[in-house]
Amino acid sequence: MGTEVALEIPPRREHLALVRLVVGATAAVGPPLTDRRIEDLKLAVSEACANAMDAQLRATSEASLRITIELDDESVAVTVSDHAGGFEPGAIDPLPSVTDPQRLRHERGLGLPLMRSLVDVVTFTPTDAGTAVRLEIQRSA
Amino acid sequence: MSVQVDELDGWAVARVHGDIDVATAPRLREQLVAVVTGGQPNVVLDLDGVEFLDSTGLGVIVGLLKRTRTHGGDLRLVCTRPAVCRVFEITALDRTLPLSDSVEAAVARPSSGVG
Repeated sequence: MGTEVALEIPPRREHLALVRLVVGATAAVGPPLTDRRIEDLKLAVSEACANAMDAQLRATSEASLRITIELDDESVAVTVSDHAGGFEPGAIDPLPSVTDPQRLRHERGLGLPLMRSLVDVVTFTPTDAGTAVRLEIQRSA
Repeated sequence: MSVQVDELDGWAVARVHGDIDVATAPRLREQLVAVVTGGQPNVVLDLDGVEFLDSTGLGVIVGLLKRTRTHGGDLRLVCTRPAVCRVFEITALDRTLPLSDSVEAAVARPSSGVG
């Protein structure tokens, strides 16, 4: 049986450190993951939350962000749900790969490709209120 | 997050402590820009006291690299914490900005002239 832990925070950047703390501590429960994988997950979640906060700022929504952590024997998955209306990752201007030298021209916007290189599965799902980003790491990977 | 700036052999050594994320990066940028525009374009950024670095923090560091070089200087990085070094490795920024394991080694590194 899996375990689920949920956290709700106001969409303000000073709360990101708390999210990372909770994700790191929760991911350490259950079959062991290496420190590197836990750090990768914390970074991916922090990036997803920062993007969600930016999106809510643009949508002028003060609603809470919901962060759900699901643990079982096979995987750890964190879902960040916002209230920013729709978001289509494919509609964003394409950025160079995170390792492309051209990316040095971009000081923002590396969060999404970074998330994709940090965790095993990244899924975007539209919700009634906005978007849910699910970041999953496999314990066996 | 806090920044302490000292001087060593003609380099400004900025030691950062705490988390560099989207919340704290603007303050870091402001303090580092002040060092360069204050007349010291040779900067060592010591990240040994940093526990977390996100993409916005990376953006600040890339921006600082450009700014130091525009002013005829250079940027050197000190990083030994695996969680922080890893962010440079994943993005291959460590090829443009080699990571040194001490301030002394960073200052002694020959100029790369890349970028």
